[in-house]
Amino acid sequence: MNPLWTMLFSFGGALVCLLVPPSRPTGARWIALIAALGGLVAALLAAARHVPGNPWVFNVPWIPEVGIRFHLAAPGIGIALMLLTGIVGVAGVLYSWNVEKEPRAFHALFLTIIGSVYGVFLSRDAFLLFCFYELVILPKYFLIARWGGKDKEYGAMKLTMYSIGSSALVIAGLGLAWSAAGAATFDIDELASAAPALTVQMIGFPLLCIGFGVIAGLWPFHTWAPTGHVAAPTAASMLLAGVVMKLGAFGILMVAIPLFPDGFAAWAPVLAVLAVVGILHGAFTAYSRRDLKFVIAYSSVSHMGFVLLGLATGNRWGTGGAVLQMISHGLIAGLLFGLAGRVVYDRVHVREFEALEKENLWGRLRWGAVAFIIASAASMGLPGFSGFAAELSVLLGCWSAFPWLVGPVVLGVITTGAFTLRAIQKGFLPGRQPRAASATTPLPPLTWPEISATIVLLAASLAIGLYPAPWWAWVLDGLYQPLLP
Amino acid sequence: MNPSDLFRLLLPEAVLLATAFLMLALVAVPALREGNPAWSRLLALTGIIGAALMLLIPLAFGAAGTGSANVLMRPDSLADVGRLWIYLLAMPGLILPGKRSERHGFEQLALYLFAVMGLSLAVCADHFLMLFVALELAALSIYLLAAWPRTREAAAAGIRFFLFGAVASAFFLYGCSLIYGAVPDLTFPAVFEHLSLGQLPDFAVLGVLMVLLALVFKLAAAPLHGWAPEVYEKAPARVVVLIAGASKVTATLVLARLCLFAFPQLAGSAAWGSMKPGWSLWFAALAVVSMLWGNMLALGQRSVRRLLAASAIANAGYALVGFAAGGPLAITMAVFHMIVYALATTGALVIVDRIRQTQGSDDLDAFRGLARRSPWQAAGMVVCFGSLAGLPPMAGFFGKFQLFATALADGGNDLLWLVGVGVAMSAISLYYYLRVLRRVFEGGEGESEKAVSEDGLPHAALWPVTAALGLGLLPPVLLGPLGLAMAKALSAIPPP
Repeated sequence: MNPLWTMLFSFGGALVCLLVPPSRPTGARWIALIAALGGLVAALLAAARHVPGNPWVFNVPWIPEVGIRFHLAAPGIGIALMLLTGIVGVAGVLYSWNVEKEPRAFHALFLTIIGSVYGVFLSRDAFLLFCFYELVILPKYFLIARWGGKDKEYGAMKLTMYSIGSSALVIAGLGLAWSAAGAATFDIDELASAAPALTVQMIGFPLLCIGFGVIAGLWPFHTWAPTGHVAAPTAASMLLAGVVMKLGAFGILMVAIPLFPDGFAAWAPVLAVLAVVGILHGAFTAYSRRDLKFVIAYSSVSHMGFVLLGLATGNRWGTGGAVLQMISHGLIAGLLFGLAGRVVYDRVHVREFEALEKENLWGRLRWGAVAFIIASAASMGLPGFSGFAAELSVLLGCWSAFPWLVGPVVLGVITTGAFTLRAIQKGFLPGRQPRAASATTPLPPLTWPEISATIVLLAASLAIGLYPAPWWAWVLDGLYQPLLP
Repeated sequence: MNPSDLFRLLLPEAVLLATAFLMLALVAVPALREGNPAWSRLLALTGIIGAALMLLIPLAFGAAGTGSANVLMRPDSLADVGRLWIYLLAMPGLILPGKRSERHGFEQLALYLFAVMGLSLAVCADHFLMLFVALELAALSIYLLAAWPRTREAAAAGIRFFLFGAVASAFFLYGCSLIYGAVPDLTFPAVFEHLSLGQLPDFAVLGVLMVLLALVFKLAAAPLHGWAPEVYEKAPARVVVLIAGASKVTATLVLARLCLFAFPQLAGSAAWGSMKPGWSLWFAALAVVSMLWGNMLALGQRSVRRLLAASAIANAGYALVGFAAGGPLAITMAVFHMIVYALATTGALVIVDRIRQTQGSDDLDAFRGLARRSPWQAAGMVVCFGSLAGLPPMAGFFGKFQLFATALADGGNDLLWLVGVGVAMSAISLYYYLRVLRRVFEGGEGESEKAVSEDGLPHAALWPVTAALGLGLLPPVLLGPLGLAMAKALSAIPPP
């Protein structure tokens, strides 16, 4: 089973989901779970068989007239991100076990997104990568607009318009790169070796960087993220924050920087400043919000700021840390959204701190509260969890590239601690407010899909935090070589 | 070329003509005089399939596309590919069932075949007047077909189309006469040769502009789009399919032939900072206006047919971006884009027509709950509108992406300003396509499921929808032959 199977399982599973008779909704759930597990197993096998420096490659012509190839490869970085996608995919299916409205279509769309995300992480042809990148747009829209919560229409449309705006910039940027390289190839490696003129690079890099950056939550183009995450159904929030935002960062790392290295060198300080503004803005806004999902959404913007900052440093520590942070944040944001949306909201139907305080979650949903507290600790970047290793590396990279930015970044880290602790205290610890009359009846206990999804995500985050070595090896192996000093 | 060779190369048109005359002859049978039997459509369809076979059989034996010039016609490889796609795009219109009450079915279908024949001859034309006659044959048939049902609506559409079309024809003829004033020979090679030796006088350049504008009218590019919304909304679906599909592709191919074979020397340049007057620049201006106008117009439409008209204006603008770049590759991509656009629009029009019959309206809200009523129609809508919006894996994605990329490569990166407008506008366009798709998937819970879910994809939409998806997965199926044909046709003429 080669890495191609990750995509085959997902897209195939999506098709099979649609074929399930409508009278058997649970069938669709099981098929989705099997497909997601199949993807994860394929990713694990790929990781086990991975030989550093000699990745798996699949390369056949697709549209030879213009030099587009169906070129997939799984270098270490792709392996690491495939594992992330697999884990979040499985957890997402488990957390959406209780979706009652048209589960077939829901899971089909969900698996389509997962499959496209695998596709992006594996692509080594710029057009192919962009194709998968675009394939996410419609399923994302329908997942939110159809199954979302409050303001779902607005959130879905806003997200879609931002995505398509992002695509417009990427089209222009890729067109420039293709044309500058002699209009004969879309292969990323060949495009990268073409080294376009500096004027082209100075225009091309911002086009691609902002284009992909929109999806990565680059300030000031991040505003789709809070509304989109909050309006989305739980599994879609997990996917959006967990893996879809990573597509943007991946695009910057694997397309924008290699294609326009000189443009990157010139624009890197601007990107770094925007990233730090994003870190601070996300953290402060998260502190000012009183809705649990909004807090998590803004914390995502803040954490993605670390990814972008790491990419902007352009050195080994920063870039590696950025990739590690992508994985770490993918797991933790997925977990937080899953807990907030599925475990808490679907039981008590409130998300505001004032209301949550009265719900006495510590007493009535002890294990849910414990899980959320552990997840929050991971999100704060406590040692032992993946976030710690990742953010520390990014900070180290930042020290050598932009020492003047370290101060604001540290402020961002402190604020992150503040809003996370407040969320724990308001929502999940015993409150001082008088308890509502309804708050004494026990809540439905955690179900097996919830428990297993939570354990999978927490375990993965802990595993990376306690023993980051294999992940570092993958990340450093897969990093685009000329990028590193 | 001797006459028998020419006849052999024009066999497809001969088959169309014979079928059309056969249909007119059948009207003489008293029992059929007023009727509109289903087999009449089958007969017409057989005619078109026959014409397509006449093209394909010599191709299979390697005998076609010699490209040798006749005075009036040049049925070269480009014309072959063009004709084949015209026939393919004309087929759904014949599969579309007419109203049972409709009278004079045979005459109507004969006119349809005449229109297809006119379009088919137009892509072979190598002489301005031959081109004019071919286009008029198509246009007059189409005007009649648009007004055919004799309702107020159809009549309004027909008259409006006719009046605009008449002005365009006048432009064309006047332009020809101006060109004739400078080059006393209206074949394309003669104009080409004349230009290779020296400049055209200003009045003849004006003539060229007028001819091009008359063709841009067929493309419904702004500001010559005034007829489109009304015709798309009110004319019978069958003729709208022809207008939106085969006719648009013909206009693009004819423009390609004129620009590359008749007066490539007049290209000028639309590159930022070094603009030179010429058709490149004219097309760039028209492209900007069309893309802006079409997309803005589409944003406010509630009638989906009018929305498709607005999207036609916008898509004409995208195609003109390829022409503004001016090179053969970009123009090939413009043709590719137009064919893909035509497929998606045809599929959409057919499904919209079915909605109009079942729901009594083509308002946005008539699409509510379509996914529940008819999953296959909903899937068809996703493919067609997804292709129009340029989303993978539909063909429109590759078409638009590559059109813009090639425009950058062909026109030098200085064309980024124009491509930028195109990319931004095509991003906006997703909004109004999504407005339709959104309704397809919402609501409809209350309706009785069993009764209507039998309603599958209309047969006429089967082929365009399949092609709009299939060409997205395998673009080389179209791009390969098209690129080869273009290269082969270009190699037959001396470089400018």
